[in-house]
Amino acid sequence: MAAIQTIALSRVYHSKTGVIRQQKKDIRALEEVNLEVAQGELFGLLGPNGAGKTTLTKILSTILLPSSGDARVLGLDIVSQARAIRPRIGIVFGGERGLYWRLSARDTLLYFADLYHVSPEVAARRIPELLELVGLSGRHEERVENFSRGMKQRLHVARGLINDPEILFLDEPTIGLDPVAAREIRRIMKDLNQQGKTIFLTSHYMYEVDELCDRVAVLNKGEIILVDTPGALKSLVSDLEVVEIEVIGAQQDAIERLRAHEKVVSLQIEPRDLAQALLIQAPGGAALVGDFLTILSGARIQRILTRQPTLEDAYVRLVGPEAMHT
Amino acid sequence: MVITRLWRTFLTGARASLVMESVDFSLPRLFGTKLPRFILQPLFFVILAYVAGGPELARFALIGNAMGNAAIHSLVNLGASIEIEKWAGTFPLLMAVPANWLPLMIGRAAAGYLESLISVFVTFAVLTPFMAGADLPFDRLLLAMPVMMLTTASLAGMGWLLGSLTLPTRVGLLASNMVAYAMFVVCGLNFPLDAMPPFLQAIGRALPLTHGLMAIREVIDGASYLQVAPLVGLEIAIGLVYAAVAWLVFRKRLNDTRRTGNMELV
Amino acid sequence: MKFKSALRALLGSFREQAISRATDNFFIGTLFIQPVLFTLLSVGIYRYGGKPDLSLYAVIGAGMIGIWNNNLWTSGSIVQDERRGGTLELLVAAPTSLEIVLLGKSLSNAVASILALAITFATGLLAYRLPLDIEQPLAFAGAVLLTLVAMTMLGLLLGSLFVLARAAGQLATVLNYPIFILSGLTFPLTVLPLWIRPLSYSLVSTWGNLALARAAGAVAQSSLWVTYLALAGLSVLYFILGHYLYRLIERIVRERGGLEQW
Repeated sequence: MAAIQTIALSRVYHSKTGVIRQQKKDIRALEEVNLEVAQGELFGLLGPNGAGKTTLTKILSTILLPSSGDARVLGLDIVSQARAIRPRIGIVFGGERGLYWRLSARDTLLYFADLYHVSPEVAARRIPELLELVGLSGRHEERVENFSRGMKQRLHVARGLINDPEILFLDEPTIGLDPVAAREIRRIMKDLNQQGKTIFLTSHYMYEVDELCDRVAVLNKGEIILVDTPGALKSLVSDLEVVEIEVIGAQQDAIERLRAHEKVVSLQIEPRDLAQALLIQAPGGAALVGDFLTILSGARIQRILTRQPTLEDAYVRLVGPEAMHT
Repeated sequence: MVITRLWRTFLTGARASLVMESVDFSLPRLFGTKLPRFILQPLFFVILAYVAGGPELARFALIGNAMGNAAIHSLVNLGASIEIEKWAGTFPLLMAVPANWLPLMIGRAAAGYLESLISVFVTFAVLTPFMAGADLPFDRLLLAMPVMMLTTASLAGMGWLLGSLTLPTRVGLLASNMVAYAMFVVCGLNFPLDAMPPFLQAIGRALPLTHGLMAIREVIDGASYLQVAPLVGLEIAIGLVYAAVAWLVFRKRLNDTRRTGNMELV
Repeated sequence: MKFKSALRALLGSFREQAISRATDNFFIGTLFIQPVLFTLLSVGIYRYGGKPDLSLYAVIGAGMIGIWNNNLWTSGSIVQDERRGGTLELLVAAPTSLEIVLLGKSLSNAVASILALAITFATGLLAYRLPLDIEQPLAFAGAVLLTLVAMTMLGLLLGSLFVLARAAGQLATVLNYPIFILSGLTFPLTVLPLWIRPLSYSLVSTWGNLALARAAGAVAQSSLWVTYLALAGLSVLYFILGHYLYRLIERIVRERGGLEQW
């Protein structure tokens, strides 16, 4: 039995804009999403902001209803059998909100333990364990409003585990965290997965899913573009090399000519202080550097390097460069 | 088994609500803002009543406005509590918990209920001595207390209804405030119901507080529990009706939220 | 030239405040709903108690309550809004004085708040068939104007005060009813003990109420000119205090680059 399974899952948001003359606006957040996550898998959902990751997570965790399609979690239907699913899953949303500021860490866990029908005896044993796991043991009496962003996130994780769930949904859990705190959260995710829990993780950090996930689904504008292992995704671009040229004063038509070069697969521009970095993907890129420099003559070249493609480059190929800057 | 679960959920809600409210009851806040507010608003209306109709009307207004405090706190606390959940971002999480929302919300009303009762008590405690010849003997006030507690509980039902109705909107806090003040006009707080035109009387009689307040007045004036039983019965019945409607609206709102996705305060 | 641009800035902020205020829930509540309820209550109490002749006084008092609540709520946050919007530092650095902008906002709020008076009169008329007999209409208009000016100056003062001393803002909500009591809003000042009257006479709401009531003929005592003088005097006082506090804010912003640490 798959841990999570979706068939043609779609979700449309209806909204009305304007005060006097109301216009109806439909936002198609998810389009015919087909996914399958095996039990014990650490599955990643990768996509830029606005791709629909949070929507999908909310639907799978029974918080939101789909507009059409089916989804099953632990073999149970998310629409009609939500009640049976809820005690067996845990949810971790990222960000500052989602906690009661006036409760202490321990009070928060006690509150949610009761809401998840965890018996007092089990809760008494589990809460200190969870606080220990996320590294909040010494601070559990303090009120949440005094917590740093990283501490709040760790409390979110502890709260998501209060009912010892079989599946843990994490929606962008490391967003806004400093590198040390983020690494902590990732380590916890790995440990939980090794204990046998299924982890469903959404992220827009490529290196994160690369490091953690067994398989990755790439989501863009509500559609699944690809589902595969991180390695397979990287191999998509393995035939390509990336040539990075940092340049000042490159003319627009020169850049267009670069883009139109017969060997160039994609060209992405990143602003870097005063200069622009042109990231050019092409097979045998290193050999083409001469061509590129000729096209760019007149501009001031600061730096050139060639490298192997990363998962990020593969991702850019899949979702398109404009998605990188949302 | 089910009963213990529901009871425990209730306790959870009550405990959380008390912990969160306890911050507001720190000494500086208590003496700086809460107590003054409990006393000064009734004082305004008592003075007004005194000018209008002498000590007798002032006494009438004092009893009415003490309960008016309870009305404001019950309505605003519950009316805004859902909005607070959205504001805190905890609403989506609560959508996913297995626990039953009914005992949870009743428990969450605990702190507001206590605050309402305290406000009533403080009003009487501070203002009664100021009114010479007010004829508000302590023993009669004590006897009226159970009726006050019942009436305050009945008000909570209305507060919950307002909170549920305004759940998808952002006017929860405003609506509860305005309804509370409207009740000041039509529920017989400062003048009896028959001083109003018939249609306003009808509205007043359909709201909580009205009958409970009448019963409270009679008990203070010497009536026995048996004599006010019909009024109290009506008050309880009205309170239960509002609570039941509130529960239905609340459940519908929850289901709607799951459908529309409108669970964040934008 | 400078006067023209200052005027334009004033009107610009007048308009901006009006737009952002229009959707503020509490503005709508304090302006439209509360005055209605206070009118219904106070006139109702007087009629039941057998003193219907005090109805006009009550209507004016309820209007004044609305004006006060409204200004407190809207102008109290004029500086806070700029700070939260990140525009405070920009305005301090701009050629047009921030003070002009603040005055424009405060004026906008004061003008809107006067509507509360119209609403209480309308309520009195519709609910209780109260005749709108204003004895001296011109003097009444003068009283409204002076109240407007006083409220504008008060707005500048409160706006600056609430951002410099956060406790002041919290205290203000508690002081609402004491101010209504001290100012004799809806009930005559004569019911208050003599020793407290000096405090009453230091409040702008007292004088605004008396000026309006005297001009309308709802009270017989108090010379109209005394009330005008008091309102003008308080306006000057509030402006001096408000100006001083404004300068303080300006200095802090210039020295520290913002009010963040304050």
